[in-house]
Formats: sequence, C-alpha cells, structure tokens
Amino acid sequence: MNNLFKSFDAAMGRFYDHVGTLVGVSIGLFALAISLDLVMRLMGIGNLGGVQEIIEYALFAGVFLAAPWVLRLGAHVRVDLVISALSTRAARVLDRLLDLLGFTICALLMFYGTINLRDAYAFGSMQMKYFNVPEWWLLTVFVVSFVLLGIEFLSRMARGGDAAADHDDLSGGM
Amino acid sequence: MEWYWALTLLLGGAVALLILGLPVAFAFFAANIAGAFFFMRGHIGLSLMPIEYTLSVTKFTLVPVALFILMGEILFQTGVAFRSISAIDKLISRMPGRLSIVSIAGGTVFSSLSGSTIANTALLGNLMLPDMLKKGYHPTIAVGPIMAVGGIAMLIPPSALAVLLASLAERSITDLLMAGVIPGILMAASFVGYVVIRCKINPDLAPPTEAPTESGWARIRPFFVDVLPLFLIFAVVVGSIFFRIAAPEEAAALGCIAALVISAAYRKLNWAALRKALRETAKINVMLLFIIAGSLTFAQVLQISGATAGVLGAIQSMEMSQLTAMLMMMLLLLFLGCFMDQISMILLTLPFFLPLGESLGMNPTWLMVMMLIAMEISLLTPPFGLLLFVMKGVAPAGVRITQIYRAALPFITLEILIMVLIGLVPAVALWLPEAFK
Amino acid sequence: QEVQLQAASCFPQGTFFSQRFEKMIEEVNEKGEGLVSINYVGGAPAIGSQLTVVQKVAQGIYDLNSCTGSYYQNVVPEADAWKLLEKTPAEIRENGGWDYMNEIHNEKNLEVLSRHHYGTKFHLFLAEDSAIDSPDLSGLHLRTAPTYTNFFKSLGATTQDTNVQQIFTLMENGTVKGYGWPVLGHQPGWETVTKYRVDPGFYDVDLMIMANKRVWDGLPEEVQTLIEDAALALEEDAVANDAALNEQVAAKQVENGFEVIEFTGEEREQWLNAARNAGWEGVNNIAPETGPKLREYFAND
Ligand code: NA
Ligand code: NA
Repeated sequence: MNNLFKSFDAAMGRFYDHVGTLVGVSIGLFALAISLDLVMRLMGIGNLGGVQEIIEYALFAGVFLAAPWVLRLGAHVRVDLVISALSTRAARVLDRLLDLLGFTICALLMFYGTINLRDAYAFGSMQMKYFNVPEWWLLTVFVVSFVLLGIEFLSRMARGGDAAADHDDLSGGM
Repeated sequence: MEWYWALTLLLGGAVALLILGLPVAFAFFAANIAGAFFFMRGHIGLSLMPIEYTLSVTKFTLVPVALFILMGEILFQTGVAFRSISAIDKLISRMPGRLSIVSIAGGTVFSSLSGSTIANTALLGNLMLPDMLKKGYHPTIAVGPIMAVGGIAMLIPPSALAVLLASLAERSITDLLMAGVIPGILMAASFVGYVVIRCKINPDLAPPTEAPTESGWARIRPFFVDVLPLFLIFAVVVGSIFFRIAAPEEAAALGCIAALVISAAYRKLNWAALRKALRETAKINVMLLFIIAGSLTFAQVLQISGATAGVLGAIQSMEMSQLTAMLMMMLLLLFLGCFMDQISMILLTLPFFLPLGESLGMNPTWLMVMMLIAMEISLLTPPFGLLLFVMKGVAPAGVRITQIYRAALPFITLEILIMVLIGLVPAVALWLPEAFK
Repeated sequence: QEVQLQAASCFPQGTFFSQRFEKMIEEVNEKGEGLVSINYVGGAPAIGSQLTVVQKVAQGIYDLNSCTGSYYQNVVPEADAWKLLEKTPAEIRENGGWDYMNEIHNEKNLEVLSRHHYGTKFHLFLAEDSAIDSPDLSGLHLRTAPTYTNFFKSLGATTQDTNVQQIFTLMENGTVKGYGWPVLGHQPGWETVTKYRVDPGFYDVDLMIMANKRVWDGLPEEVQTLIEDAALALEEDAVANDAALNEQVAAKQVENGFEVIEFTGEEREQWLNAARNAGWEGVNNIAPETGPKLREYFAND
C-alpha cells in the first residue's frame, strides 16, 4: 500500500513537472505573440486576430491546471505565524487538519463545478467574443483542476507536507 | 442578515483561516463557499460560482504580471544580473559604508529590470551579504539596505504588483507604473543618505574595505559593458509605455524579448537557464493568479452580502476629510501588513478603499501609489514580512531573525517618511504620469 | 406577508445604464411598502461578471435584472436581436414579436418585462489620425463589444474585445483606432483621445428588464401589476424622450470639438445595411430557426 502510494506520488510528480514546464513555455509564447502583434501594428500590416483572446484562455487554463503543481511545491502563499509558534507535534496535527480542510474545499468546488458544467452544457452557454467558446470547456478545466488539487491535499496528508521538490532557489515573488 | 454580521462572517472567516495557515487562495475559496451559501441562496449560488472563478483570471490585463516576472527571471537565471552588480561594485569609490551603497545602487538598477521584490532581495542577499559580513559589516548596515532596496522593485516599473493593483481596480496601469518611478528613486536616495550618515557617525558599523584598485578605463569599462546595456531593457519597457507606443501588456512582452536578446548578446542564454526562468515565472504567476481568482469572487460576495455598502455607509457617515481618510486607510494597511502578504492585503481592502476614495474625490493613482508604498513597507514589518523571510533564507546561518527585524527598522522609518511626503504632496508621485498626458 | 425580491444590473451601480432600473426599484419599494421589498445587490462587475448576471436570474439567485442583449447571448442566443429592433416596442407588442421573443426567453426561465432604453443609436468613434471617407474599415483596429464586433469585421476592421475601463488606455497609445459606443454615457477622458464620430448611428441601445419566470408567475397579482406598471412607464418614457435627448448630446459633442463624418445617400444605405445584415447574420448563425422569424417581427424590411 505504502509502496503503491509512493509510486503513484512519484508519477504525479513527474506529470506535474511537465505541466510546470508547459505553462512556463506558454508564458514565453505570450511574450512572443504579443510582441509580434505589436510590431505588425506599428508597421501597419494588420493584427493577429484573436491573439488576445487565445492568451486569455491560455492564461486561465495555465493557472488552474498548474495550481496542483504549485501546491505540491508548497509554493502557494501561506501565513505560518501560528504554525511556527506551535510545537513540532502540534504543528504537524494542525498541518494535517488544514490539509483535510483544503481537501474538503476542493471536493466542494469540484462538486459544484460539475453541476455548473452540466448546466452550462445543457444550456449551451457560450462565451462569445472573437471566438465562440462553450462555457463547459472552461468548466472542464476547472473541475480537473480541483480533482487534482483534492488528490494533492490527500497526498500531502499521506506524505506529511510538501513533496521533495526540485531544488528551486528563492527567486520568486512579487 | 445585518451587514456587520455578514462582514464578520466573511472577513472574519477568511482572516481566521489565513492566520491558521491555510494557503491564502483556499482561505478565500472557503469564505466564498460560505458566502455563496448564505447570500446567494445556497445550492443555486454555489453552482454558478465556478464560472465566476473561471472568468476572473481570463483577463488580458493580468498578462503583464507574468511577463514582468519573466524579465527579471531571465536576467537572474542566466547570471547577467550578477555581472551587472559586480560592475557597479567596481565603480563606487571609497566611502563610508561602501558595500551597502553598492547594494543599494545595484538593487535600484535591478529594480528597473525586474518586477519581483523577492528576486531582487535574493539576488543581492546571495551576492553581497556574505562578503559584507566577512568584512566586518554590522548586520544592521549589511542586511537592512539589501532588504529595503529589494522592495523598491515593486515601486519602480516594471512592477507585477502595480499591474495587479491597477488591473483589479480597473484603473490606468500606465499611470500607476509611471507614478512609482519618483517615489522609488527618492527611497533609494534616502537609503544612501542614511547609510552614509550612520557610517560616518559610527565607522565601526562598516569597516573601510578596499575600494576598486583599478583606475580609469579599467574601472569604468565593466559599467559600460555589463550595466549600461541593461538600461536598454528599462528603456524599452518604460519608454514604450511613457511615449504611449505600447500598452502595458505589449511593453512587458517587449521587455522579455529585450531581456532575452541581451542575455544572448552576453552569450549567457541557454536552454537550462531559460527553462528555469520560465518555470519559476509559471510558479509565481500561478500562485498569484490563483489567489486572484479566489479573492475577486470574495469581493463580489462581500458586495452581494451588503457588507461593502454597510461599511462604506458607516465610514461615509463619519464625514472624514480626504487626508483623514487616507491616514486611516494607510494605518489599516500598515497594521494588516504586519501579519499578511501584500496580495491578501490588496484584495481584502480594495473593495472598500476604492469606492471610499472615489466618494471623497481622491485621485485613484495617488491612492494606489500610497497603497503600493504601504505594501512595500509591509514587506519589512515584523513579524510577517516576506523580505525578512527571504533574507533569513539567504543570510549566513549566524544571522538571527531578531537581528533582521532590527535591521529593517530604520528603513521602515524612512519609507514611512516618504509615504507621508507623498500623502501631503501627491504631485511627487503624480507629476510624471501627468507630464506626458 | 411582504414579498422579498433580489435584483441586479449588468452595468455598474449608479452608472447611466443602471440608473433608470435603480429608480424603478426605489419607486416599487416605496409604493409597495408592506407588499413587496426589492433588495438591489448592485451591478456587474462588482457583483460578478456582466456575462453571468442573467444566468443567475434564470437559475434563481436573483429575481429581477436589467441587462443588454449582447451580455446574455450565452443564455438566450437570440437576445442579440434586441439591438436590431427597428419598430417601436409598442409595434412589436402589437404584431406578436414581443410575445414571440418572450416565449424564447420563457424557455430559459426568463420573463421579459420591458425595454427601458429606446431610440439611442450606437456610433463608431475614431481617433484623430484615423478619419475614414467611406464605409470601409479595412486597416483599422477597433475596440468592440459583442454588440458590433460582427459589423465592424464585415467592413474589414480587426477587433479587440476589452472591458470598458481599457478603452481610454488603448485609444491613448494607439492600440485601437476607434470604438463603438452610444452618444450617451461617455466616460470622462474619452474626449481627449477621440476626434471623429461617424454618423449615422446604427442599431438601437437595448436595455431589458427581466424576471425569473417561476418567481414572476408565483408573485401575487398586485405585486406583478406594481412592478409591471413601473417597468412599462420606463419604456414609454424612453420611447418618448430618448431620441431627443440623444440628439441634444450629439449636438453638444460637436460643440465640444468632435467632428462628424457623415455618410449620405448611397454610402449611408451601405453603412446601415452592412450593420443590420451583419447583425442578423450573427443572430441567424447561432439561432438559425428563430432568427429569420424575429427579423420579420423586428425589422422594417
Ligand atoms: Na521593478
Ligand atoms: Na509585514
């Protein structure tokens, strides 16, 4: 059982690793596409139609699909005032409880996301701008995101904290 | 439900979960679930909330957040940023607290290239701090300036946080970016002044170190080679915004391209560094925007519950003047800033501050610059200050967190003074954005 | 027993396109004291995306709302046809068009009560360096909303859909060369980045008051009458006064330095036909069965 979890967890780790790279590359592509669009405009040779909207949807999908990866790295901002003031043992208990709460939140959002998805599908709700995008496509991303986040919270409980992440140095932030 | 009960439930719930240590985004999600249940007719409200989350980050105006982070990451991961700081080191001659001055100058340069305060602090901390401590610098004068100048990155454009703030407020991103320039430079200048005066009064704080031995061209050359070209990036970003050639999204994209080109010109660009930069950017961007998704919806629930209108009504009935209201808002932010990260602070207060400021006829750019400065200060205020932690992370093992707290104090004071100045003389910040209208 | 209702607007609270609806709520609350009380939660985007307000009415989170057709095409695809109305509201109430459209709304659990803006046209506004001399928009990059995206594209423009707050910035740095908007409800600052207004105006600014149908049907008759009367009074007001108000403001814009590019004769026909054809084409594309029928009721063909 333990081994099964470990290999599952490792597989998820590899999967998320690719997700992270992919989302990073998508951001790089934003920079290229926007620059190209600007240059075309300045040279008076038109525009890349709809590029802005593609970026908007890619931004959304990237954020929600990579959120489990960020959770796995323990990189979602949290205030550790209370936890760091507690004894190691009490901190561990609180950490588990928070993971459980996190899982519950994800389960609820997944549940209501699915209902919203079902309704949007039945209604045929569309986002109509440059492209017509069915809302259920967007909601599918949402549901997948919270399924993965829920699994990750459970894994954190089983694992007892962040996954041993790739050694990212402290370079991030606002 | 009376508005104050709604407020207690929503705000109290979110803050309680935040303090307990639930990741910020999830604290908002939890409060939203409760809010939708109570104020949007239970089950039905909850089943339309996911599309709201979805639309909240499907926004082009949020793109520069990622791109401004990417610019700095490219320079950081390729090592170009390190070289520029050693070049600045060569340039600054013998003076009291020399290495601290180098840190401040280098940090200001990197502030104009990066939208990230943490990257800025980590860079200088890694690069300058070990040397300074080894040479006998007192922690106060070694650690303090690095953290303080690290925070300037969010005031001088490019700034991911400024973009976020203006975009959430649906006000001009361009104006806010421009409005940060002069306050940022003022702060850097005040830091230099402080270091020089302190070290002059008490030379023990910073034992004289060797100034560069090279002279003439050999000394200046690295500046021309390793620093000056970097200003091209700043020129591209700020110039294209300032002269209204590009929208902030486009300027940010150009900035990334410029950072790439420059790294390539130094022959430092490789796939490993680029991949690292992209992944780091993705990580921070996802972290930020995930919180945005939770909190935008939080602001909406606050509004629907009547809490927003209730609080505003109560405040408006006090008939405060503009200045009093500003003072109250800043005090609240400074207080929150002791316990919270900047994103949560913006998100919790913006739904109240913006309409309040508007009803009193405040210039929104002025209000937002003041908010930015308050958040910059909060990076340094104990017990919860992001840059304090970054510094603890990169400082040699001997440096205690209490020392770091103490080192931050003089710089917090200087930043508050500048905040007061801009509070009383808004033109200090607003002159630049107005200049090119 | 007082009936409690919840209302919302697709436009920001207190702004031009919300004001009439907000006044109506006040009025109903006053007249209906003890009978009905409407809680107005505010307008988008403060309460959520403007594209979800009508969804929320249909599903029962709110009971009443005011919205423009293009903001709720995602619920009622035909809603976009409201802007294409060429007859008066009274005429389509007469010829069956209103009932037909209302039945389409009923299927989505919506009941349409009234139209509180009528007689205001949309115009194309252009920057100083972007004057046009014929109904040809090729080479122009324009800020649009779904209302007129199809139209501008059909004349060769490229388009960008952004929120309202972005219009000023985009015009200022030249990202877009123009935008569609009514004569009314301009935001401060726009006049500094706009030089030309293209006449004639096209389409008709549509703001509809709707209710959740199940809730509406369950209301006591007294309450229904009270709300319906107030809503219809707004419609009559709009029909009587909006066109004149529109003309006043249009003249004022010229006084304040706007120049008018006016198409006449054949070009005028070309411009207006392109608008209505693009409009109906858009409706027919997403509602191939109901679209042509609506055109019969709505248009002066
Ligand atoms: Na910066
Ligand atoms: Na703090």
